[in-house]
Amino acid sequence: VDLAGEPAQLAALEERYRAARKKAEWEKTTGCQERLQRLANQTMAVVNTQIGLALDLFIREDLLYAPYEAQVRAEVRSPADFGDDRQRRVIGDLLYASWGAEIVYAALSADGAGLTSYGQVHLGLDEVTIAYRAAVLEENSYHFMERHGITPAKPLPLGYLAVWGERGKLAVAKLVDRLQPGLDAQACRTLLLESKGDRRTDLFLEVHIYGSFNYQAVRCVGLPDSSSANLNEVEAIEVKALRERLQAKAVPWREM
Amino acid sequence: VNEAWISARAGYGVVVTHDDYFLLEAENPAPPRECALGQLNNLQALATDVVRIEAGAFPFTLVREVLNTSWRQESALTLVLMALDRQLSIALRAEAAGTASRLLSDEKVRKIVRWRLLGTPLPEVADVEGAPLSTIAADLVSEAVAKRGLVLMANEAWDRSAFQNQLACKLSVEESARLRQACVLQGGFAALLDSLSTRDGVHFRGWLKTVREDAGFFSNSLNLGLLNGWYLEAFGLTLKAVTTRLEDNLKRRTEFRVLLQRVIDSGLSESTRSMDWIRLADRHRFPAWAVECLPDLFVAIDCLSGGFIVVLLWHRLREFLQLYRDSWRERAVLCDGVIVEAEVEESVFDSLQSVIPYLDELRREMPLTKRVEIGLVAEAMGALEVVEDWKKRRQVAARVSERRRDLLSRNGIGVSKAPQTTKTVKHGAGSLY
Repeated sequence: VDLAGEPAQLAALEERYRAARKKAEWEKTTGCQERLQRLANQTMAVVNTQIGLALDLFIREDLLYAPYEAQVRAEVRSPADFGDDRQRRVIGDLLYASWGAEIVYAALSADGAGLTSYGQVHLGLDEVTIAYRAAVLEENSYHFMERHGITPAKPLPLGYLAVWGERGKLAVAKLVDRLQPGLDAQACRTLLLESKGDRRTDLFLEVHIYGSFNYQAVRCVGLPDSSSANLNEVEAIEVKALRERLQAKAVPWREM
Repeated sequence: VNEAWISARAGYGVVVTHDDYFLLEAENPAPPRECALGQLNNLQALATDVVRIEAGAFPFTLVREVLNTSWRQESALTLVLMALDRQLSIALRAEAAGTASRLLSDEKVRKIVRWRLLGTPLPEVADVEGAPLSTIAADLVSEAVAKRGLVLMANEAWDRSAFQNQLACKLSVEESARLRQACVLQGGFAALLDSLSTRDGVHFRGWLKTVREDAGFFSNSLNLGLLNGWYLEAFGLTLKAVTTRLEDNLKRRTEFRVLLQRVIDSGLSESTRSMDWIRLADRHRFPAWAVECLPDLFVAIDCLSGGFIVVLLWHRLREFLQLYRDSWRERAVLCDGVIVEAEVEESVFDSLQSVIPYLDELRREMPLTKRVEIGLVAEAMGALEVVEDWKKRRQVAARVSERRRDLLSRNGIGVSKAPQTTKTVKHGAGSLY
């Protein structure tokens, strides 16, 4: 959040946003741009996970959804193989230096649906619990690093990272080229997040949340249909159990 | 070498090859599909049960086999616990129980679920009576319920040793985590509980033998010797914690003695001797009353040249040693003075050995107060007087008698007659009369 809130970062984002608005004016898509911005300002951070892991989160109330490194530190799990560990950490470290190890990644979503390639359960996080510790990156950080050729020696380009309250401006700056006159709200939602279950083709804005969260931070949940042919017998039972748990905890859920 | 990362709880695994990443899903016969590195990162970030194995070549048959097997085991356990969960509807619990039952019909799955159930204490809120379980699952759960106290103790032993890192073997955090996982998933905890509940170390020692033969199971630094060391230290820490909890309990000696005896009787380590338990009590600073619950407080630990024997003995036995003047020498005190380490002449050792079992038996059976302790010592001195008299060492017998009277009078206890010498004297363990 500190990085996203640096004056240079804020100024660069503001500059990109103004340029995007001008472009929208020229292309007569200002209405769409405003609709997109309104929608983006109402988005939530969504973390996707597997059914069993989501059930654990709501059964074991002391369980934290924690960054991998935090789990290792808390001795909840053993460290992974070093080679892979280094590879995994490099993205977070390039963005946030030593704080990279503390980041939980989520997708910005306008309707509570996240990236199914990461799991069939969508956990929509309560804004109150994350807004003060979340930043939004224009795209998947892997792709971002690759596209901008970022190395430890090369500084991060400015204007692509926003504090939570400025996510609407970032969305406009990113998506202005894809706006067309007459774009409806559903189309705007799809622009913000498009996932066909393949992580390589997922298009979204990535939310970086500092630290962990537990089930109390979950505002709403998206579940697969328990009669879906994509679920095996055990998963179908787990989905039903998850529904009953959510009901008991008064967490709203819906099938997606 | 291709590597695979598998999480049974998540139900999928990722294979990392030189050029690519592949995703495999449990119970999904579709061929492995290419995926992004993010899949692996996601798996590592979310699942706490990730294991790594060698993957072999495409289509990674071994990975699929391991994933399916571990997923079935994990699912069976999850479903059994779901059937015990009173917060879920009866209909769903019954459905979970039915599916669990089908998975548990596989003997391998059943074995692992048993080990897992014995690896962690069953939640107190588990609704065992109301669980709509099949016979197979009900048997597993009943055993877990019956052994819950022991499971708690084994877990506490583990946690204390891991947390305080006071293991003789000094395991690293990673080794400690691996060892715990291994002990649960490979049946070590279950074997430990079998030994504790049957008071027979054969189960745990048998498990240690099995894992020792499995060359790839433990790294060089995590060998059998370390496990042996772990067990004694871990239970030392746990027993010490128990003494703290029992401190204000009027029946503390009785309760602690039962627990201690169970751990000792289980003979988990073949090499553990009476002196190891005394040293353990000293290392972990057992309170005096707990030290006095140890079954043997007169233990020979070494032979010296010149016919001297090094012994560890209860401090009250100094009363005896003082009868033999130059035939003994105190070397050290342990357990805050409750135990004395001394060198004694062989003849003195023989005399003491003939009466100590009698004293120990009384000591173990009685709730000790200082007055009772003195009474016990006096009683044993009476027995020693008989022994010395029987050995025709009249002078020593007279000194014992005098010392006994002095002991009683010093402590304001009425003098009783020494036992009659005409009665039969048995040597060695057991009663003298």
